[in-house]
Amino acid sequence: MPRVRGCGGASVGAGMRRCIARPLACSLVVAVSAGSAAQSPSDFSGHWKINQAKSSAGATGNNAKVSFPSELVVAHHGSDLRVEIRYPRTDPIVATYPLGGGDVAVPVPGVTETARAVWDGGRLVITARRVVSTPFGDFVTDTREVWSRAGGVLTIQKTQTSEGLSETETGVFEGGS
Amino acid sequence: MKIPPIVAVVAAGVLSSAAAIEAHHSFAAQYDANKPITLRGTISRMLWSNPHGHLYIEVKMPDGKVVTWELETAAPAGLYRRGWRREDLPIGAEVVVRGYLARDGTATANATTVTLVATGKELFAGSAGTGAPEEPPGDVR
Repeated sequence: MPRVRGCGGASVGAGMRRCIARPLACSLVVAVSAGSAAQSPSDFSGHWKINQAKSSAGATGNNAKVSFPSELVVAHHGSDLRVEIRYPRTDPIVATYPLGGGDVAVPVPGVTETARAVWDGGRLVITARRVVSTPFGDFVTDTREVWSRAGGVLTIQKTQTSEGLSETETGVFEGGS
Repeated sequence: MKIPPIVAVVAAGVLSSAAAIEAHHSFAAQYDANKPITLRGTISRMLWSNPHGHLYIEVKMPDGKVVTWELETAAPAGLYRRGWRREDLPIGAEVVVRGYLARDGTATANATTVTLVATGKELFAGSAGTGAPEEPPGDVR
């Protein structure tokens, strides 16, 4: 009995599976590429205020496990992102992140903080290491913030790690430009 | 000289009020919200005092020395509301404490959370100084 040939002369079986699989794989690659292209860097500019009710329970108030600022004032300046970070009990801190990568010193009074911001598709990822020096030794806290924007809502997922203890909380900010 | 009882009572009231005012300080006056620290150690004492409780833990520092850290918490009533019980804090229990360093350079901090290593139970210390926005109205410390 003659074997039925599939496309390209391949016999049905392994050849036919390849025949179907290749275009399918190509389609998936194209679809994924198109999805990535759609995730262009977001514009985080604007004045953002935290919404405590929409943020996770451990993000605000006296039970906060990971502390979030009450307000953020964000501006894009060329390839830099300038962020004014406002907490209710301390003076504002202004950090300017080069979005092409590279470490920056964040001027937090009394501590040493180094941070870096990079794009991850449409999201911005800011990693930082804060060192608090004391007469008893240094205390190191690492944070990783993932920023994403949808219209007038800025969501920041923040993970804080120190002494093997890691916590993640979500702050929801409203406003923008 | 004999002091009239009413004068003694008033004087005692004034003195105790003054002491309470001194003890019930603002967070910012004593602690630095820019200086988060995390300590791992063992409980040596818990003081259920007003207006703040105090947890003492022994911490082995990077240089090998053991330092006793004093960690301020909310008042006992506030801790009780947050689920703290005396039996949760046995002497010698290992804990991880998050908090904010004191401004005066001593081994003192304002605690935000206390995690019991053996059970994973997390207790909130009711710190007013997390650096986060204020609690909603009605959620008293």
